[in-house]
Amino acid sequence: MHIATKMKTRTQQGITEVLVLVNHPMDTGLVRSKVTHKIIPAHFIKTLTIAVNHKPAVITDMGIAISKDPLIAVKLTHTKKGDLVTVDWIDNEGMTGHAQTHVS
Amino acid sequence: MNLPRRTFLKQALSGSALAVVAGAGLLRPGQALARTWPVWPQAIFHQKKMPVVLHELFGHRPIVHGGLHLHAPLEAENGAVVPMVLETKVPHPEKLVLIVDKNPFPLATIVHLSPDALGFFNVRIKMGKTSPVRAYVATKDRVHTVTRKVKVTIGGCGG
Repeated sequence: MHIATKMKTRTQQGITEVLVLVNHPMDTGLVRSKVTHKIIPAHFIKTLTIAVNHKPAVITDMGIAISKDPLIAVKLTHTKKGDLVTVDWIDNEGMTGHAQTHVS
Repeated sequence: MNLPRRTFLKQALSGSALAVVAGAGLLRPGQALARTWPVWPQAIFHQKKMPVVLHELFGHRPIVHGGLHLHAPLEAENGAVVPMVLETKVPHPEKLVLIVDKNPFPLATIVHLSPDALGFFNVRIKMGKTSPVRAYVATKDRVHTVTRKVKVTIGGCGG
């Protein structure tokens, strides 16, 4: 299973806003399937890291309460044009995802 | 007499060896991330008692009201997707935390900020039912908090 990770940045007045979208099911492990009547096992992102030039800027630890297909936004200062912004995440099943972009 | 015992020991040993391999396999991706903060704090995310969660997160730092904004809807039509925006101007924020009192597991997220990050976080969360949502921002010596009550008209954990 491939999970798409997308990232976008926009810079205004020296502040760079980073938007991250991951197409992840974020299953809580508390819900019963309407089809099979079995509990859908928990499958959620545990940690998502946003880094600038490979230096972590924001690290998010998530629980099961984050919505499906997480969309998060953070704001960074001291970024320069051309800086490499990366996002990496890992979920409870050991799956990982990555996306990168440059500050424009 | 000896043989079954020997086979048993052998099996037990190979079994534990397998467990070690599996454990190492699970750990590897986390380490590849090269994080500067500790690993995912399972104990706090699984904790159901609010006061314990707060103590684990903030220790004995005093908690004061105000100092940050939590933009949340007064009423959420769909509890599976409730937008939250956390904003603070306090100097040197280290950690942002979102807690939903009446969710099965109250702690929703912990955001660790480096000095290059502003006190800002936008996320969408699930809410099982109508509940106060608490936002916290921790600095070196104190914790600021604000509470918003969000009414949920359709259950969210099913989302």
